[in-house]
Amino acid sequence: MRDIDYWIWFSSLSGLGPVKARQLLEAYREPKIIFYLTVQELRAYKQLSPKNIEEILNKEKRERVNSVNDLMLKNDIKMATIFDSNYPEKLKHIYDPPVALYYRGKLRLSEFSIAVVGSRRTTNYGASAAKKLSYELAMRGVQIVSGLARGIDSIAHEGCLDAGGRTAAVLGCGLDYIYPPENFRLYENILNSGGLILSEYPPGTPPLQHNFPARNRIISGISSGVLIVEAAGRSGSLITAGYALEQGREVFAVPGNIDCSYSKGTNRLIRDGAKMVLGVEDILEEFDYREDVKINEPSGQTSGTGINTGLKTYMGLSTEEIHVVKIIQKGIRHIDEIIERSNISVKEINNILFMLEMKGVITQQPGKIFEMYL
Amino acid sequence: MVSKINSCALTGIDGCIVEVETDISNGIPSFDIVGLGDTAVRESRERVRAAVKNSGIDFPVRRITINLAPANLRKEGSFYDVAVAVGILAASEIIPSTELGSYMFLGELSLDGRIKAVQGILSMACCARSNGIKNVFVPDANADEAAVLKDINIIPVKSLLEIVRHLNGQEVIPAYTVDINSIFSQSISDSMDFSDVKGQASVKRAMEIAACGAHNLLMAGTPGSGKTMLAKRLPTILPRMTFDEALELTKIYSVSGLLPHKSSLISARPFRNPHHTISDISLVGGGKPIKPGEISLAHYGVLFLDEFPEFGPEAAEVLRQPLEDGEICISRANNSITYPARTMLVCAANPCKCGFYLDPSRKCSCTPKMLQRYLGRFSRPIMDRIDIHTEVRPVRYDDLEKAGEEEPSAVIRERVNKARNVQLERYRGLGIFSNSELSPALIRKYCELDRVTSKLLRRAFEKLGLSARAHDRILKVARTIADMEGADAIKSWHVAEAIQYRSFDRLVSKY
Repeated sequence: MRDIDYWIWFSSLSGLGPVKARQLLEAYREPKIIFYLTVQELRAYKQLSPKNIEEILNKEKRERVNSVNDLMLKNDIKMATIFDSNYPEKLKHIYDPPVALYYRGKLRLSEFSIAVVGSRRTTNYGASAAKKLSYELAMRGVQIVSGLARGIDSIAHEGCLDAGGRTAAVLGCGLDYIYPPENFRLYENILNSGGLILSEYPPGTPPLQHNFPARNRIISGISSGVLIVEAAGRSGSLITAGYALEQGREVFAVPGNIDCSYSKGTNRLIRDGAKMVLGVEDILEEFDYREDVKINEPSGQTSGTGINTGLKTYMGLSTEEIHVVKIIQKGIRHIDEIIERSNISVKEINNILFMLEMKGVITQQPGKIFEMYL
Repeated sequence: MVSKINSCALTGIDGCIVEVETDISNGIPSFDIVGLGDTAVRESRERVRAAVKNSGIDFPVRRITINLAPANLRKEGSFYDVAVAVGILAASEIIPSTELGSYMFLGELSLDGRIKAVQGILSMACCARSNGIKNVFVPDANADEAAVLKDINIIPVKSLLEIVRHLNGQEVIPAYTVDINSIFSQSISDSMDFSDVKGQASVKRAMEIAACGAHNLLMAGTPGSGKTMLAKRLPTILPRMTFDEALELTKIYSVSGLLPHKSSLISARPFRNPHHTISDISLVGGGKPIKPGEISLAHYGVLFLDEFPEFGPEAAEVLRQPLEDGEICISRANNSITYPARTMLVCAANPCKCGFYLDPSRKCSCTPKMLQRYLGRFSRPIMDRIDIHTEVRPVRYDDLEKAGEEEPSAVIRERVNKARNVQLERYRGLGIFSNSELSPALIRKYCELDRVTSKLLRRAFEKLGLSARAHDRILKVARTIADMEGADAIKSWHVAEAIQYRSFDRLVSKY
């Protein structure tokens, strides 16, 4: 077995819990050594319960390493142990960090990241607030962290992607599962845009109910602050807020109507001392974050036959093409609306949009929707 | 004494002369009809006997034998009644039999001697015309239908007695005529118009191209986005039907018994909108007796399949061959019939199971598996025959409020006519009429691309993941777009626009 195989085995000991696992690691330095400990040696280690010992010696768990290895290869999943240099620095300092992280994409978290979380069922208000705030944060170069769940989580990721940011998603299952399944497009978009998807669970772990509260500690753990957009009286996002407080992270909440059940949780957080967020400035000022770090705002400046979309500069475009690009940058995306706004006839617009797509400036989404290529 | 009377049999939408031979001789009184008649023909004995008697004429109490020649052709229907009755009257010398060769008799008798309307009159009158028969007696209720034929005399009759009086010269009934021009001008005041549809500029453009090249069309869009409304207005921008086209179409409706009462010629292009629970047989035709199916009823018009994926896979399979050939051959044990079926297929579908996949404002709740399964229900063979894909999105309120700036159908139709004429001119003598019918060999001949354009097309294929089958479709549509501009050569912008109408291919390549 290779070193990484011992790590895979060690990380799959879910019954042990992250705290005991870390203590074991500190005592023995390497999973390899723990792997070959005898029953007597394990019994001598007082913190371990008989159940823990049984799990460590469990044959099935040891044999499963191979199948996990296959899944990692197949799904392009990589692993970072707590001793690795790319293991998120912030996460190391929480009470119960996972001993290893599985990830897809680039394990590169920016200095300043905000977790945007909320309930799975949302109101229009919550959805638009989540989108707006995560979009604006990402525009200022802030990384958005969330849990890829339905509702606010997905919207937060989308908002970050729309702004051209790199978002990070923390899952409560193995990375070979896409849960919830309808988010597979989002899943791909996150990876394609250079984002990160990570989990403490080895591939092959199904989305079990009790995994999700535990995953919330990672969401807050890798973030500088946690923004709760919408949460009912009892909501998983409140668990995240609890972890955030424990870990010494800032907690932000978006206020709502006092008679709206979807805002009960967030309003209560504000009453209990969370910072009320009316705009991104409320978050940024807490970190002394200057906007000059990075501004992604599309400038739309034209120079000769080219256009600067904020991220890239395209050259060799015709005047009409630039005209159309500017319209799409304003968020007018459907072909009929583009026609209306640009005063260009249908037959010409089809041609222009096609040429822009071929030049890699825009992409076409199903439904004759056009978006800037990021 | 023997008499010979002309009548007609129907095979498909064409007629075939049938001679009704009557022999009256001495012997034990009897009344027999031979010549492969079905039950309706055999039962006509009772109707004829009663009708003759109730017209105040003595029915001969002798041995009567009727033969329907050719005796090997199967005859179906009740429209031989009048010919049989007239045959008996002629054989018993109640009416003169000298000039009967220039008459054809059609119609069903009622027991009191009145003549009732029958189906397929137009086909049978056409048959009389082509066989040089000058005068056709038709039931009064069918007169408008038959009278569209100019060079024969259509004599409408209400009862058997009127025929007797006419032939005996006692009371001559004048030939019936209708004004064809007025029929055609009537349909100009179509109740539907393209200008009813607000906004939707890109879809309208796609429909105009489809109309110009007679291309089959797929519309994907959320429920309530106006797919049906748009499709219903497609016939209003197609070129007006010529007289010959109208005649052929009316024949189909006539033999199916679907011609509205007292109407003559169908001058507006048909729009057929069958429900997705339709059986395969009623879609393409068949049954006993064999009747035209929806695809033939949409001849020269539009066959609209709403909720296309809901049509079973068999329905799609049976549509394949008629869409290709422009006709459908129905072969059964006793005969085979060919109905024309030159129609434009328009399919409408939700983009996914819940229907909101393309909706910018609502969230689609379909999982990738569901989407995959849904897309799998689009029959490949039919999709291969659809040149233009377009996406319809829900109407916005702003568009509804805008008034009076949409183009009316007449203006669009003018452009369509122009593009069609270019095609008719180019394909003269090739047996095809529009770009949609181009075969692969003809595509190579008429859809040549210059170097820049073919390079662009190649790049588009690589970049957008289009399938090989899209290639010919794109060329055909590009040809149509060029024809609309009156351009001889296909240019890069024609191809660029044509590629925009392959959105379904892109969707499929994604999943």
